[in-house]
Amino acid sequence: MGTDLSNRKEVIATAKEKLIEKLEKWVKEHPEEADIPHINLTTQKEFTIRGILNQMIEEKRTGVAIMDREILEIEDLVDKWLED
Amino acid sequence: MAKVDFLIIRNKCDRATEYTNWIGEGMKEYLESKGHTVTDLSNTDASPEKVREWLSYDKKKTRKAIIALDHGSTDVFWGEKGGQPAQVIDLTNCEELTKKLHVYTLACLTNASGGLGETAIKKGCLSWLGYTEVVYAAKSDSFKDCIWSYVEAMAEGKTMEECEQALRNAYIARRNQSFIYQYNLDRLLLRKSGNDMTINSPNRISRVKSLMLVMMND
Repeated sequence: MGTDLSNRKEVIATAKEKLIEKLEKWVKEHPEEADIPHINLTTQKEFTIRGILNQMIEEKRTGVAIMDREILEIEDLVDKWLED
Repeated sequence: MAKVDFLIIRNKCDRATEYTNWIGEGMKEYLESKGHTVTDLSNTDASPEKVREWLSYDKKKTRKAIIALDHGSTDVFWGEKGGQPAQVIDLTNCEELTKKLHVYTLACLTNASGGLGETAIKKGCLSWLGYTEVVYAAKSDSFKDCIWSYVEAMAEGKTMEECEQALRNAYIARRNQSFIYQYNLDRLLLRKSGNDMTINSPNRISRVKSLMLVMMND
């Protein structure tokens, strides 16, 4: 059980690292677009893509997991977008 | 009050509607430059009372289309009253307010299955472009131009299918700028009561008046 949880955390951490790499590359190539303010029109959550990247980098650096569900949803959407 | 071709509704009572209100800035002037008449219900003017006044089918003050940039939910398009979101078009009044009009929205959820857009079409609205889920907006000229693409196509007298395609193309052309373009595109839906309609026909101008206008223009 403990091993399963540990494995899952490792899989998530690896996936996040890959996403950070892809996002860093995109931000470097699109510096202006990275700073454009975005908003979810229902929840009113505001963000920039650079801000999302910075939060992920901070998460990796500190080991403190992002718990904000909206940010996690945006991460998933960004991941899917950069895969396509 | 004079009669107009377009009614723009864009409240500004919270952070999200600051974005959508901004997207509507300059739209009235643009449409007027294309020969259309327009009323722009911005900020506190986007009240239930003023929307009803301008959209009532009996009065026919708005004759062709509604451009609705605001909050939406499955059953409601929102304006504002007293600085708070307020219902302006809902399931109970959509027949009276949208009958024989084309509706273009940038708002969440109004075209969800069984929701406001679908109900309005069943009750006589001519077309409703909206989104089936929650959507995102961006504060950039590129996003604004994307949303305007449908309006520009309408103003040029293109069919609703062409307007939809113009918007889809605008989203596709921007897919590398942010995830929100593909995201919104995947949730975009045009509901319509017929094919090949434009804002010029059919609409709330009677058949006789339409023929007279065509003859005058000829």
